[in-house]
Amino acid sequence: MYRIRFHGRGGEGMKTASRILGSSFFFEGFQVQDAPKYGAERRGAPVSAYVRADHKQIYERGEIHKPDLIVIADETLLHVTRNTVLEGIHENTVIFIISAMSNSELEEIINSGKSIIKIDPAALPENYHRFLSPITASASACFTGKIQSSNLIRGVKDELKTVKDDLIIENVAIAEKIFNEMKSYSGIVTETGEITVLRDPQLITLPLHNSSIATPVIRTVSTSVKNQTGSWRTARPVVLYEKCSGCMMCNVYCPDSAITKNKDGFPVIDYNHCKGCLICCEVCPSGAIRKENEKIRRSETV
Amino acid sequence: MTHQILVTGNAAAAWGARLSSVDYIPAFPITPQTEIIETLSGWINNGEMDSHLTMYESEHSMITAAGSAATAGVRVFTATSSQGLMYGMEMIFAIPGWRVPFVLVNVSRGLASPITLECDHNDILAARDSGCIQIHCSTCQEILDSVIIGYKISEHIKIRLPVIVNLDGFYLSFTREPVEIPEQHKVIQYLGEYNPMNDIYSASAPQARGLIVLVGSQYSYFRYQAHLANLKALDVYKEAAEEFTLQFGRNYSVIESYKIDDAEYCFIMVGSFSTKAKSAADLLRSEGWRIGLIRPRLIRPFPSEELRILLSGIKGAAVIDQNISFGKGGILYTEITSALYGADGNYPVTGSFIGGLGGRDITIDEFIVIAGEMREYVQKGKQPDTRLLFTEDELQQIKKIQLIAGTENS
Ligand code: SF4
Ligand code: SF4
Repeated sequence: MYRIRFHGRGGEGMKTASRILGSSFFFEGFQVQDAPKYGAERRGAPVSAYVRADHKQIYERGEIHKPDLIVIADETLLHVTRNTVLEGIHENTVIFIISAMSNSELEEIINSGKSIIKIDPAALPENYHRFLSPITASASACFTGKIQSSNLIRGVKDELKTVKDDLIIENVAIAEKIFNEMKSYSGIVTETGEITVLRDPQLITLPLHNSSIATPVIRTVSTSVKNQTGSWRTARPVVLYEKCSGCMMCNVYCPDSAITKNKDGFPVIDYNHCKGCLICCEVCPSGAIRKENEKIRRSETV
Repeated sequence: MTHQILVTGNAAAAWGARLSSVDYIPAFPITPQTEIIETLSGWINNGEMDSHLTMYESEHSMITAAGSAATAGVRVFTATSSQGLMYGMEMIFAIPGWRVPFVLVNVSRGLASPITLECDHNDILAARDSGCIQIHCSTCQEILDSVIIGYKISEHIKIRLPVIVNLDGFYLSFTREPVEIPEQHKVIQYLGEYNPMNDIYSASAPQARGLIVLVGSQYSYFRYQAHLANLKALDVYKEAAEEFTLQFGRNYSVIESYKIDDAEYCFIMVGSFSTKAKSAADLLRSEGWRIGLIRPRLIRPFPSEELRILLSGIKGAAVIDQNISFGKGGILYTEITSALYGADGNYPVTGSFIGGLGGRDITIDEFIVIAGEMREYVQKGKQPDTRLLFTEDELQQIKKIQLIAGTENS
């Protein structure tokens, strides 16, 4: 069975990627199971998705604990949720990542697995963020060596059947391009049979605790301050002070209370918590908040 | 021509309704069920499905509308989940007494508190005593097929009770699997055009429904009739499933059994995680175990006799409940053991394991541990205590969040 896990952020298309790959396997005659795993169900929040493909009916379910391929569409996740992203690497696990980091930097962070295959964003079209689904799905399809490009393209088209024709053409083109460019890695990802390396889960007998701790309650204040949601941003609001009147409408509407007033009476955005919803841009009556694409998120946050 | 496509459990449920040519769909959104009504409304909107969908302001109204529409002579489909089912629970208990048919799909999700979006079966099992028939599914194909079979049972003259088809949130609702989509005309041939029988609303022949009776003996009569009808649904289910097999080739016995013929041990569970029990059984068999799976598809009516036949001669049975009745334990375990108690025969030592609450995974390692523990208890010849599948690691994680949350450690 192939066990493939995709990691990205809400809005980056990992669910779509898993479905494209799932469909491609399916058209190739495999039994398939694919599903997304939502976390916070918000744009920018870490999400994963998985694909299982086998020659017989699949009985395994849910999370993949021992992946043959881990796809990381967003390198910042290696800093935010490293343990989740790299969970269950075994000696044959291949890691595919879109990253500007050097090979040695990546190897140091990842530090296990069979091989790391990297695409540098510089080698991709400038707007590659919009095409992470076909990029990651077609690379994965190629790595298995079991999927013909015709079935990959069918998978892309099938998944995108509700979008406009020119967008489908763009997606297909990039899928074909990546599939061809990755040819030298064809077959690098191999199937693992039944998982037989077991470990004792160390089940315990749960004792009764006092109700004061055995209830879901938070008694400390400001715990949400500790949860630095700034890494969820795919776009960043930037205040243009020369246009800003200091009306503080942005502060009123920010759903995350990420905008405060400085001593001169102007707004300051807390990028450690701003999730990038861009509501502030919408409501600013002076057009004084500009939207910028997030490029390097990890230096700023976490 | 029938064909297989990859669809989610939610889409499979919607396909079941579409192929059954339902006339009316009262709806209210709730995670993880919303995709069902989105799919149906999409089809209705683009003309692929001829039906009427109405959004209600709550599940209570939605379920009332489902029952009411069924009294008016149309085929009805509806769906909900978790807190939504709880909110509509007054009507879930009231409508079986109206003796009208419809199918409700419940997408299982754990109940508050704490709040979760993930799956367990306390929602559906809270409807256990309502009079509704309950079919529990373990694959996406089974969901589609069970909706169709559900109408066949629900609309039977002796039954006329709502059928709830249950599927697991996330593990089925958002998971795509290959599903064969039967041809619509074959489904209609199987179900027949909707026959409202006496359940038809006509100004010239008015009826009063949902009446009050102030006499206990009358109340007893009607209540017991609903009970008898529910019991009868076991036979009706069997006929419906047999006919389904003839028409569509897929086999849905009242209880699914996997590698049980020569088994000394078995897992007993319902829902999607039961397929994991199959892979655990395969693995254990490769190490010499004789072990399989028993999965009741019907929980109401409860297939006691069929269960006894399957369990006869088995040494150890581990019942894995993805639910918990506070103050008692696993609900399925109670049902299973009550079917065995006092019956003549050679029945297994039974163990009760609680796992998968709030979508917690049940790992293959844990199935192996369960099997090992059952073997020990069989050797000792005694029933083990109820066991929660919970690890030392998990407790340490809880301690960490308790520290952050500032709950005193007393
Ligand atoms: S809403 Fe616009 S103008 Fe008003 S304070 Fe915020 S940035 Fe400045
Ligand atoms: S984008 Fe603006 S409104 Fe949204 S969280 Fe950030 S600061 Fe607040």
